[in-house]
Amino acid sequence: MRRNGTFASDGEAASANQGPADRTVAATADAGPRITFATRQRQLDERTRVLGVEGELDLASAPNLKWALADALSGGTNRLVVDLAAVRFIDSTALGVLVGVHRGLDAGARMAIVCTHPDVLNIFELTGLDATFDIFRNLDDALAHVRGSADTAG
Amino acid sequence: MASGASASRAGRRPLLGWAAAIAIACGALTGLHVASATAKRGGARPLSTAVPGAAAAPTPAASGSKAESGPAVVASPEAPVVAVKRRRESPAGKGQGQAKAQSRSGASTQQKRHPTTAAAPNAPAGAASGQAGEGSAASATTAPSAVRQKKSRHGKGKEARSKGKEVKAEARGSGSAQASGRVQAASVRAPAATIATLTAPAAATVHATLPAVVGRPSEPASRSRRGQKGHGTGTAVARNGAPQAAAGAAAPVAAPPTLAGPAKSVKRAPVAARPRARHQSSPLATTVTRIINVVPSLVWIVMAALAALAFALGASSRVAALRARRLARQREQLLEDVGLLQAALLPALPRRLGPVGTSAAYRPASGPGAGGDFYDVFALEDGQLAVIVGDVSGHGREALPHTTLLRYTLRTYLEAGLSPRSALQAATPVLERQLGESFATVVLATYQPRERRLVYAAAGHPPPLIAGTRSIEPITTSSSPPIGAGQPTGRRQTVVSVPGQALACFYTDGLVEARVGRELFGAGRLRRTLAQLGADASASALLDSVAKQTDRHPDDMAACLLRVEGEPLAPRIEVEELELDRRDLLRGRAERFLRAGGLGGAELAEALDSVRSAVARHGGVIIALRLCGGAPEVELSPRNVAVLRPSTRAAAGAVR
Repeated sequence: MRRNGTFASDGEAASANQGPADRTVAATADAGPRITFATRQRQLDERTRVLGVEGELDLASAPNLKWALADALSGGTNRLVVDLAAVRFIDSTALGVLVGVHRGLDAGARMAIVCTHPDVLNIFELTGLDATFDIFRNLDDALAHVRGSADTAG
Repeated sequence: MASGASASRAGRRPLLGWAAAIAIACGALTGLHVASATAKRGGARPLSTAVPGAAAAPTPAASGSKAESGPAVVASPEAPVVAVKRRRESPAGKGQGQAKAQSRSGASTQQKRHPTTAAAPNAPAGAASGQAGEGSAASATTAPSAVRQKKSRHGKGKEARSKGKEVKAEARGSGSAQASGRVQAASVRAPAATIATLTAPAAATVHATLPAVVGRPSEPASRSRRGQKGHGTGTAVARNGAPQAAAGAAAPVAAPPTLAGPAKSVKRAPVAARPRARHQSSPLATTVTRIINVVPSLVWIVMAALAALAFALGASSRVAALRARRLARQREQLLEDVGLLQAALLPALPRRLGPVGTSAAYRPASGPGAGGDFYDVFALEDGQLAVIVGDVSGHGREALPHTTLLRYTLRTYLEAGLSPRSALQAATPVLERQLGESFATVVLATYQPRERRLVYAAAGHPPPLIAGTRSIEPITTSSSPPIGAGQPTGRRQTVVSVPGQALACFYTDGLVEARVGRELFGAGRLRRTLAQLGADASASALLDSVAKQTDRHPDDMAACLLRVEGEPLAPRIEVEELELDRRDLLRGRAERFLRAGGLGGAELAEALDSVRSAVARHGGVIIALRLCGGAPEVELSPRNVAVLRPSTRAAAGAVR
């Protein structure tokens, strides 16, 4: 299920992987194999999913990200963690996708972002979107947030 | 194989696939048809070629078994044998009408569709080899005199109905038989002299194919199955209602079939007219027909398949041409859009606005990312100068109206006298209602030449690079979100003092997101590039330099430069402002902002306490972090909606 060896977002949460839905979608963006974008979806329970994203989120991969997010939010999921720990770069188009999905969340739905890469964190900060999203440094905090046991963003 | 190829192609190009399939089907049908037609023709030929002989000897086809195609035979009373035989009617002649045969005399009359038959007088036996309607021949037994008396009606005339013709056979006087078509009249006179003469009264209209068959006199109708022996002379008038023989063949009708010798009582004289006769008359047609006849059906099928393939290829070529034309049209449209973009959204700037040199440049992305960036630089009433640089999400045509909307809306608020931050705050609700799903990042700035102070506020946009003798490092934490992100924006503002020479570079993220190998170009490289270009740098030179240093430009690049002249004094940040509400406080934005400003320890704790109490009291607060040398100074003011330009100090004092 791991398409690219450097995927690094499962950690302890892998033990919580109870759901049958565990999908990986990889797409080669642009010309050339060096820039690769991949998503992996895990269903933790009937309402909670983790969408792991790897690679570079830019103009080329933004549409794939959009579909992956829409897919992750289907089927009764209203607690979503977008794990960007393996993302090296995110551009304005991909940010726009995240903003659009966040803005379109149903009432009562929660979405959190896991982000550890300093450049990506800087982009969130520079664009002021750290005020829009709930951004956490690790998956546990994010899961706790979407499940309602934690209320403050890191 | 051709169908296989077309089928696989059909997967990709449905239209072409259908065309090919239809073409192949048509080709196959054509091949089959041709093959069957060839077979038919081959079968028919012996019959036709045998006509003369068959006339003498009653052929099975001519025999009474086929009522429809039989010739009309009139046996004249005096003629021992009158055999009139018609050739088989041509297929075209079928189904045209009814043939009526009446035998008015005792002569046997047989009707055939086309045939005009002449009975030979003096024939001992009327041999009707043609197939008359049953009993038609029988009815015309011996009534020689009756013929003359036109007793035919009383005689056992019989009507044979066959499609297409009405033949009337009448026996008149002795020895003459007359056959006349209905439309044309072909009369055949058969004097006793054994010569049957066919005359075509209306030559031009005679519908040819009337082979007249004249039975020789004195000949026993030995072979006619239904032959009747008629005596006396008779005149047979056949009215042939079948005009199909038509086509110009008329004239030759007059050809009198003279039957010499003891023919077997019936002779056939195909008189012009028949289609085959026409074909045969043309050597070219004959040759072609012969060639066609010998082509095997397999070859026909192959030819059909090849034709289908050719058709498919032609269709494919046509489709490709159409597609190319459409793409060319779309490209034209896109280029036109780019032109519109340049004209409407990227204004030409004067080289100077007051004491400030200005330049701007735009470089569209070489791909789908083109469009969405915009800028504007304009003078305000009080001598200030304003800059707008922004980027709308989305690209291409759909981004155009939004860029226009943003540029002019923001410009309006700035011209109304609002500070950049206030302009953002005020414009955001207006813009969000119209942006729909889109969002935009933008940076607004005003420059007051008298005070040499630059004020800017960004919404999701990178702050300007301000470089003089040294660069400034603005606080980027707790930046304002973009317009349309669903959050209030216009939360941050920065005031920069520009005492001496400096270059302020406003840019869109296309510059820092351009790629160098796997890396981003980044703000660091951009700053160095700007420094290399020197004080006289222009925006276009900057973009050119960035483009040279990078491999890919997935997004538009736009840059706007303000060049402030003066002494070599370093620019510095005077004030950093942040507006907070309860939610921001919970998220720790105040603390991060103050830490970034250099506060810590007890100072920070004290400041945070003040912020919390102010937020609790007013619902929101504006933190102004004064960085004018020495220790940073925190100034709190209740949140307000509109801060009057130009001084943040004045704004801080304006309490609701």
